[in-house]
Amino acid sequence: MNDLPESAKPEIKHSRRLSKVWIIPIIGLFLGLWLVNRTIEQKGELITVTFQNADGIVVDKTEVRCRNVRIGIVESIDLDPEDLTVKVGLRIKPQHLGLIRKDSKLWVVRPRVSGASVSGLGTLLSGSYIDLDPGQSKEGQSHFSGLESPPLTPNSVPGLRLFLDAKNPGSVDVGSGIYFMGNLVGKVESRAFHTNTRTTEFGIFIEKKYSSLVNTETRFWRESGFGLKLDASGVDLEVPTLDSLIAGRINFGVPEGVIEGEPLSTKHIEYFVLHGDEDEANTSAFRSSAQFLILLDQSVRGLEKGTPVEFRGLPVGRVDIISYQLVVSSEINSIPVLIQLDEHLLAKHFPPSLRNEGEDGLKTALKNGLRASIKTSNLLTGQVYVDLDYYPDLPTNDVKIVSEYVVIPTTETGLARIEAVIEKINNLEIEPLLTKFTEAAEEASKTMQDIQASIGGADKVIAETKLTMEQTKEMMTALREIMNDPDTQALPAEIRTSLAEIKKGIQPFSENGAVYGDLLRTMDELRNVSRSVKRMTTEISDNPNSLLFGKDPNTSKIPRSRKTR
Amino acid sequence: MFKKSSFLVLACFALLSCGSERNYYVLSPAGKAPLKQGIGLGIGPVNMADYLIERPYLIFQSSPYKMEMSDLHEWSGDLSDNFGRVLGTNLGRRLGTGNIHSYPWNPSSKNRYQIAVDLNQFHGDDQGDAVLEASWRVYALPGRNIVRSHTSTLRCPLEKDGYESLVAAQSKLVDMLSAEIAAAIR
Repeated sequence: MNDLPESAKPEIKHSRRLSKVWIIPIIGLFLGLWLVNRTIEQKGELITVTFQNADGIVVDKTEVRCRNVRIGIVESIDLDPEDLTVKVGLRIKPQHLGLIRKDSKLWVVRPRVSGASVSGLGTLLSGSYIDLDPGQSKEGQSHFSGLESPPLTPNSVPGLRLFLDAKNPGSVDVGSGIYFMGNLVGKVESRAFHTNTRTTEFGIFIEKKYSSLVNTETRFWRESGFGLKLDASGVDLEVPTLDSLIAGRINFGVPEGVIEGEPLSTKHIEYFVLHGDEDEANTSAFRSSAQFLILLDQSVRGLEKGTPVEFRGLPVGRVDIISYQLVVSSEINSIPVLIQLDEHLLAKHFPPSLRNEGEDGLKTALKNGLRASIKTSNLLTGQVYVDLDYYPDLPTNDVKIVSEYVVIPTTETGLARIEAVIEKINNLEIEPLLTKFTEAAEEASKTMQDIQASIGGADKVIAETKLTMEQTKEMMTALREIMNDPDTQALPAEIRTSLAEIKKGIQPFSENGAVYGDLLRTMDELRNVSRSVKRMTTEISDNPNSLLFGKDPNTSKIPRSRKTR
Repeated sequence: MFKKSSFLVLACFALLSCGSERNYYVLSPAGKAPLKQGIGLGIGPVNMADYLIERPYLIFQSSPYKMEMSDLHEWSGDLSDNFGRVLGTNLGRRLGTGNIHSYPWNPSSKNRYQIAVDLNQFHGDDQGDAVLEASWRVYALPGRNIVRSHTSTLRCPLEKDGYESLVAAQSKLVDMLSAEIAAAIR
């Protein structure tokens, strides 16, 4: 019984494996490590931003957002003792670290009310936050200087960014709209004044879908304020929209008659000129194709640089220089005026076959009686223009060149012609004629007396009578000659036409005319406009909060009748 | 949190804006002008005292030196225009003419008379009356010779309380004025 079967011996095996209990602390350790790692990862990275002041920024509360998604939080606010700027530490979540790039922009979103826009109203209740525009750079950065005002269009938005140089910026400012044919297509984003060129440079942004509207021939101009134009066709009153009065407005387009240019992408143009108004923008499109000299014997009063040159009413060019210095020779007493013909305008009105005739074409034109003349377009304001037209009745001219310029001969028309007619009347030798006539009449009567007195000396009397009659006849012939002179005959007709022209010109301004009625109505409208503006200002000064909250109704009192008093 | 508060703001705005309804008033003529043509009458210009046109609201006195007005009771349109047209219709009815023109008229309308009005007072007073004080001139056209120049002061009691009866009384005042002017033309 002693021998126990072997199998009955306790076999003590020392287990080399750890107890299963250890699994729990190990899992705990792993969990702990994972959690530490997670917190470190979750904590993200710290970046610093410098602002001018920390208005509305609170540590651990103010968020960093991108497209209104929270990507981080403000961790610290420090004041730099040297330049007194505020250094704000931002803890960015690791998964969003890719958004922090070299050209990122950061700014504080606070409620803002300016002439052009109201923004950030939501932050009134939620508190300010720091907004991030990621930018497009590949590199990262950890220190930024924050913007004081929000960039109007984030860099990431595709579109056209251009610069406009303006001599006079007017009411245009950051936030002003860019309009194409009355549609808002972009905004002014930045403004800088260059002291060396004395110009204001505006950075503008045009949305991508509209960027094809801008080409190399595009002109930009400021929307003008109130404009009143008075001419023979009536009154034209331009009232700008209220927002363009307050916030300014930029228009652009290709001037009429100018062929659309090439797309900008092929030329890499970034700078444009901002013109004062549409007219200025249009005249800047002028491209001289030919210069001609006209020599005027009449006053050039009213003629100035830019005065239009028209061919039978079609605008073809403008006056460039009026100066005696154009002509070197002292033989010429007339006033030399240099006119330019515009390529665009010529292309608009005339087919190419008519334009490319060169010198031969000019010769033919001069042979056909091409003349330049100064005509009055507006009798009231004395506006003039240079008219080119064919006068086949006038003697033809050959091509004449004075001081390198081809001369277009002139003729006098309009008022200058009336003046010439009056001159002619003055120069007529009427007085000696009249004296002669009186003498003759006196002699005739004397003769008659003589006849009556003495019938005796009849022969002598008859001879004398004959002589007198002959003299009278001679005189009558002379008179008839004068009367038959085409110049004299043309006089009354010419005066009549001239007077009719003047009358026609003044007609619209008379009491029955279109301009008069227009003027009355326009004045009425102006009065209404000014009254509405006055009412609005009264309303705002009475109730400044009515702009945001509407009017505060006041119903406490009503008019009472006698009975209830 | 933000969403909730924005709803709150919206609710506040809504409460503020839907307080009461706004009312608009016009003067009305006492009757229609005849359709038939008659002597040409040109009405205007109607010049109003500044206190009448500065704000579009109906005005009444609560004491001799204090004016009251309410944002909820406005003239519909330009009061001087409304006044001129109603005066014209009333005059046309009294003088038997439909040939009435408002200033500025076309010179081809060949008016026989022009009636120019300076309105100095036109409001409800603190006695329960509507008052009107107007200087008016009748010119014979085309020479523009003065036929009559006169200042009328008229009163008309309000039927009952309220803005509507004030406007009714003021309409009646315009008719009373037209009676005086018509007497000068006849």
